[in-house]
Amino acid sequence: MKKIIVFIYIMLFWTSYQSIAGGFKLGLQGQKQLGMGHTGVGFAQDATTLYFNPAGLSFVSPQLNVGLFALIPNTSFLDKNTNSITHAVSQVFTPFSAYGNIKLTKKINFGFGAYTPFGSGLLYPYEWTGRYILHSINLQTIFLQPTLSYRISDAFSIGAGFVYGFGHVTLEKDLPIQSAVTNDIAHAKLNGKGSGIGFNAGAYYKGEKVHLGLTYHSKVVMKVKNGDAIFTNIPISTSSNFPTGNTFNASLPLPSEIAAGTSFKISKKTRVALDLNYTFWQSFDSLGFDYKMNTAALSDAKSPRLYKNAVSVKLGLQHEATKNMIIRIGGFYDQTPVQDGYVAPELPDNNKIGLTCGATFKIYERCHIDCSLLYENVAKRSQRNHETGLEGTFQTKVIAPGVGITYLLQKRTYKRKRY
Amino acid sequence: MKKIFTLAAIYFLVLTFQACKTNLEQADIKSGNADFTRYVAIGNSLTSGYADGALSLYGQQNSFTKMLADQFKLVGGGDFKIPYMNPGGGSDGSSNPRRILGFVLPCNSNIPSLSPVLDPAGYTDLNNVKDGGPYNLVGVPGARAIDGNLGIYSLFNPFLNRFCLTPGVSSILSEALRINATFFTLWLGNNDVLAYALGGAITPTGFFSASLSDTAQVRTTLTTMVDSLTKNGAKGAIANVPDVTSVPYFTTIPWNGVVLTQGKADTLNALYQANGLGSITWQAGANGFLIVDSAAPPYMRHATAEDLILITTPGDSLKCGQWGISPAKPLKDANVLDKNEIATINLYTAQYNASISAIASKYNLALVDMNSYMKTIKSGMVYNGITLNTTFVTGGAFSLDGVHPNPRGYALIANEFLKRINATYNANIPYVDVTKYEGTKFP
Repeated sequence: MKKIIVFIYIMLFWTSYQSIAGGFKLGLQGQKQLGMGHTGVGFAQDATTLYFNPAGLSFVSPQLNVGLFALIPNTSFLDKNTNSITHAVSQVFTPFSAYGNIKLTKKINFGFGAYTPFGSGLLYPYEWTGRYILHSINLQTIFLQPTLSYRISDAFSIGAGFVYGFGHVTLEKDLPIQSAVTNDIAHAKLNGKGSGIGFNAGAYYKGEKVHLGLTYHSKVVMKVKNGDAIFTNIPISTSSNFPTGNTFNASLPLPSEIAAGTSFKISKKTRVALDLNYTFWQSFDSLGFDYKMNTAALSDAKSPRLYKNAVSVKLGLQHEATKNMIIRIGGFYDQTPVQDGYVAPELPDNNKIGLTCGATFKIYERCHIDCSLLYENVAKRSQRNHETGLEGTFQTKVIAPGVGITYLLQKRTYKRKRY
Repeated sequence: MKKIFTLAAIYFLVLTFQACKTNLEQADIKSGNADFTRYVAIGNSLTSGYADGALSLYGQQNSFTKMLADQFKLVGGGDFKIPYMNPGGGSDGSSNPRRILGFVLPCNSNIPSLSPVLDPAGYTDLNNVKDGGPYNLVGVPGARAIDGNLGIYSLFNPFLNRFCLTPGVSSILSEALRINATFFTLWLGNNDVLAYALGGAITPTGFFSASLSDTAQVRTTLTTMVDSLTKNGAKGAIANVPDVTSVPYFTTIPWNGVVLTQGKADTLNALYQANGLGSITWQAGANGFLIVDSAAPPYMRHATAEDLILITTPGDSLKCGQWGISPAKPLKDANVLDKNEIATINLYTAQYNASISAIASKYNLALVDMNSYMKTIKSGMVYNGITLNTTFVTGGAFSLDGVHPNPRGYALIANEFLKRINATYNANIPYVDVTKYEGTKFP
């Protein structure tokens, strides 16, 4: 147990993520679920359900479930003006999730999860044409979620979790101010830690063949307080515009979401799952930094984002291939919340199609290895940003292999529960 | 079976990693129906790369014509020979180098403030480089459209004199024709109004001094030039004249720069009353500068929002020398463009531009509408996150002389040319990356 805590602790401080579901929401919360197109609202098959549907916990045997992804995004930009292509610097991110649950009473289950629901990471080459818009972004969030589920009847349960989110954001860009002395170009770095709270809640119905689920994730407003606003390479004559020791406050609303899901048994060994998600991105209407010290060059002006609400559809299938192996396949379609004219280097988003597959290997009765693989294509997006004038085509492709372990705390329960 | 499974898995992985690469496709670059093999650029200071009040090597290297030539190389363009200056501060035609931003002590404060100062690197001789000719860049600072075909002009203009074949005989046109160009850019006409405007629209004193050029003469000279340049079938682009009064040179000093307290205003009013100038009154807050007005007694009045104060008006005299405040020191005609003078300038600009449009359509040239470009930048624009406007120094697009662009501003102009060249000749030449060029640098 101690080792697991250490592992989680290390993960919390070593992970960073690239957006791979609509907006900067990450769709990498569970290995089995990702194998099936990231479905899970109506298919509670492991402790991961405390993210997908907290009510599902009532139907999951006590266990520990940890997983790790190697997220490898590839983003490129074709500048319409100069007809040249910029490739964002290759990075590998390692989002993780860790969930565990125990039975408190016959009807009440308790679970705890640590996962990474939102994130973004992009690093553009120095001196790329958008250097005065963005050099790099690194947004990381980690949600900690204690959860209770209550089994109302044999087939029906409800559940809810409290969410404490924390994370940090770093943004860097160049400023179009050049020193006559050193020829250096001014650089801005905003770096802050933030936190916020929220909840999720769900209901789960487990029928003979069909399961149904409904989940609501609340908005979590991440508030950054006294983040560092660091300006370097500032010529002396303009230094009064960029005071040292300046700080900023900002708030980043992570949107609420409603999800409905179902799964049904189509044969003795095969199960299909379907999820529908609706994310209230509209809450992300602008991004602004409230500087402690305002100057002629540092105003609190907000930059419009005007995200719109977005839906996604996910579909998955799993099949017990052998006694010791389950294989999965799935896919999803994710609508972008970003409107034309607002696509920016920080989040070159568009509608996405994802294809996934996965497998579970039973090492021995209580220990399973889960593997998954995601391939995602963010469709090419050509537009001109209203605010910055950057005009061209963004394209992103993502590959994310993942691996996880499920360890059952009670041997016999699993046998009875297995599908 | 197991082997096949492993092989399949590896194959699948390789495929996925391959599919993970992005596959954006660049547009096809093409020259269309123009031939860029030999490009000659003809014009005035703007074509030469003049900036910060001088012609310098740095300015030449950042001229829009060199940028164009570099882009033309992508579609078969050849060498572009520039009559380079020696390294250093350059020359304004006499013995001043370019200006850089430095610190000066204002008359009314002991805190140094940011201001253009002469480059301490010193002035660079106008080196004679005629042996290296002919040059593809025939940009002659100070040249008016009406000077374009005058052989004698090369005797008087040191910038042309230094690289032309035979001073006194070679004209701007004859120098350009030595290239036997397949493509040309022609941008003249600015100085035909600008010189007049820069001098505050005072009455001219000699042939080469700052008068407004006769419209018919501008049209005739430009027509002659284009006619000769297109003789061998060359294609080209001709640019028109922007509204010169939008440049920082005219818009930096506010017309109402006299800010008074009530007490100060009362004192001034008493003083004016005592001198029989009671019709001119002052109030607390911002007042228009006192300027000379030859129209009617008392031959002085407050400047209004319709008047432009020239940047060359000495700032210390305005701040501390009672210029534009004291009844004895109204701003002179040479310091001010008034409403009527501006109207005259606009009228001439419009007439020149009508001629330029007519020439463009007669000879099927790309018409680069610098007049509307100037309006765009005046109202402010943004290029990949850099905001640019006509504000002096901080506007980001003009050099420290308040008339000529800085490298970044020249890059925007290069793109205006490329836009029209592409459209006219069905070409697809990529634009230059404006972010790669320097703005005004700060100490």
